[in-house]
Amino acid sequence: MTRDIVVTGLGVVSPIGNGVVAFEGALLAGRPNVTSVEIFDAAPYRTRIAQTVCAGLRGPGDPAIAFALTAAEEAISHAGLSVTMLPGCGVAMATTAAGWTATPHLFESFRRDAKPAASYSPEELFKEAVLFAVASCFDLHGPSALLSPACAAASSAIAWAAQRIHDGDAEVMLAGAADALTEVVFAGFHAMRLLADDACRPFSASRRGLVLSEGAAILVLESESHARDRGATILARLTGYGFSCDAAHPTTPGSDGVLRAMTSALNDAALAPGALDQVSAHGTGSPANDAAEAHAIATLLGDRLPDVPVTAIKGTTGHTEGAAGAFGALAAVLSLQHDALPPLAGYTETDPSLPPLRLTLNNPQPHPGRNVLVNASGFGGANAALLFEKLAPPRPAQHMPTRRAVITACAALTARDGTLPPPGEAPFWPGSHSLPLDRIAGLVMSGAARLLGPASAPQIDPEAAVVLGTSYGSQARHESMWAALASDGPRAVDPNDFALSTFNAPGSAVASAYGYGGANLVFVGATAGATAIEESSRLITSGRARRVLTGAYEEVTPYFQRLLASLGECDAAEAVCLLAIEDEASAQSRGATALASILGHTACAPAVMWPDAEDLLASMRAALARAAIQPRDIGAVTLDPHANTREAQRSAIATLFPGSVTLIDLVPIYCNCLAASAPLAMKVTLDAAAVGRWPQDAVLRGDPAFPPGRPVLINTCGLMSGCVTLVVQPHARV
Amino acid sequence: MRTVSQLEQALTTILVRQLRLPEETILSHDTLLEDVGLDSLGMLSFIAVIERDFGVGISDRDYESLSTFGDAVALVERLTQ
Repeated sequence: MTRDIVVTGLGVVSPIGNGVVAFEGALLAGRPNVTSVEIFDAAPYRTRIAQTVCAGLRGPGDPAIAFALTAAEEAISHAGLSVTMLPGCGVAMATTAAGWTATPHLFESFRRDAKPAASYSPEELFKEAVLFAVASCFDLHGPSALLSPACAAASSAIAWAAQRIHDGDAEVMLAGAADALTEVVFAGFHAMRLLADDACRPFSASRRGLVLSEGAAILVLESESHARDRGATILARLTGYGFSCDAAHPTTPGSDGVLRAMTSALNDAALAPGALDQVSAHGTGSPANDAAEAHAIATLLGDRLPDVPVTAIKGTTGHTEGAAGAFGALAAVLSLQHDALPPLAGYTETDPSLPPLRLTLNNPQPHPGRNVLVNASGFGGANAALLFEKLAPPRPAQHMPTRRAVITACAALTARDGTLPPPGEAPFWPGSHSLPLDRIAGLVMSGAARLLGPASAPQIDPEAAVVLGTSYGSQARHESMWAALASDGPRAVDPNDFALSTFNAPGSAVASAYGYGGANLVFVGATAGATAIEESSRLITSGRARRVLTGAYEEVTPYFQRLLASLGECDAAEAVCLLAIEDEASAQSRGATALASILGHTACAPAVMWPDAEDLLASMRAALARAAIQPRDIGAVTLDPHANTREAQRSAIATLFPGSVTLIDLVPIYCNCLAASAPLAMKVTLDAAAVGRWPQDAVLRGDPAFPPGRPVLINTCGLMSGCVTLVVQPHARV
Repeated sequence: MRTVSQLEQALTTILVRQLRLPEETILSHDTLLEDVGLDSLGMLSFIAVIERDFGVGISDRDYESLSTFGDAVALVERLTQ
């Protein structure tokens, strides 16, 4: 990375201690806090232990939100940020289980056609609530995103935030994650037989699995110049990050993928593996994870394997699920700040089948190291590595490749297009004989096949990424788990449902089929499709990928439909819309036509539950400024389909475009396809550019003729998701 | 109580359905489950169906000891006695 990014604040809520001081004390003492599960009846389970945050911090609603707010407050205070600085700050959060404390109960009422025993607010039912809570509570208006690529989610969020600072979108970002222990996730890991029955023992021959945990860890990231100008205490520098996807098995970790993420982070920092002073491993204590990761670390370190300490904090903290990478990052920063390596708690004996890592056994060890690599891996083969550096003189700027991103293809599966296959299809996961794809993953695979052709035994391409958006993930999988658990208890939970319940599962299926071994990211919320497109473009322009399959998928079940209706939303519709975005030079060399490029974009944090006209106006203005064009240059504006934001959109558009601008409304064509709306708006734009006319039923106002050469503004906004605006320039066809 | 051959047939039926194997598939006791096409996730599903269909609980230790079709038959026989 070329613009230096530093960590200036930390905040944490955890079972081993709340607040940085208490957390660090327990971490250095190697003192876990494993107890019997009390938040649900664990009697039917083979394992009945977990690590949980003290009851007083769980709050009245979703505990993940209470954890996030407490950790964010500490991080902001720790960074010494003043109230006047906060509105410019952005926020990137990660979660996997937020919303799953209340949702299974509401779903059960729906399934039984009974009145819910309690009333639930949207903040208890949507994962976006974690992002919304932090943004609205602290009045943050900068770039925002919610990520959920399984247990690599938090590291991905931190990397996403760092890139926004690097590119000048923000000076300060809050980045981290929150997850609360839920019975559904516990039952899922139980079905996968990944839970230890006594302790988490990373890399030990005696390791039997992970101990589930919960909490929140949040970092304040800041441009170094901004931190120095305001006299902030700099705790560490974030020097690089790397993403990868195993592009192989959905749940069994692969060492090649972990190695690719670590290597990518080192390349990002222009650092040789030999310069590493510490590796903070994902180290879940599961036999398969630790074996794959140990081999990857051994390959990376080579001759330096005996010299570089390797630690894994989950022996002490437990596995905080989607928040794991943020806990690892926070611990790494503390270890650099205080020159102390946390011990590897739970370790009892050498596993002779593993490479001889220099594990940090016993008590905390003084260690004046400089560079720490932090690993995180998740289901779907998603990996993310972060690299932190002890404060040292500013680094010389590196020359990064300059690439332009262009959209070269687009495909949609929607009811309108007649491209949705009949229900009930169950294609097989490529390379496996035993794992059927669910419908939504099958649809994503079908979309990919339309863009990329049939999948065949692929070579892994580390510069090919899959970046998707979704509102509610693989909803049928979730509902199957909830129903099984409620009806027949934990033994009825299908391990396939849990394995493929992560929001990155459909993208991982594509990555496996096509050998897309680069980033495997998924954004969550109504604006997630637009965020995914924007991030894809940035992965290319920042030299992190050459080709990206992006877009969004939405699976709309009757339950989800009713949930949206209860919020006053119009009919939602199932849809998959995918785009191929690639490096312009690569596209040219293979003779592909560049259909469009993104001139500008912006993402504004969800300061209010439904974005208002002020938010939308700010979002559109910022996107136009980024594109360096005036409102009069815009040829048309596409509306977000959410009914709750229509008035705000009309008002903001009337203010920004006082004359008239062509308004394109996708609702008559597609209904509300939620996160897939932005990719669909892109598709409609590309199709209209090709034929010279907008589809007649989509023209709400203005000229149905497509304005040649003029950019189109795509608006997206929705519940607790803020606003994301894209300015798209269709290219002239030759 | 089911005989060994009935158990063999029942477990074969589970695998045929799960893996979409030919109906006439015959599995010998020394057939490795991995060779039939069960990866780690497939094994978990196979065992989950056995637990449900036979009403038994399979410990992690028993689960980890399974490698052949015969192991699975023997385990179910022991647990259902």
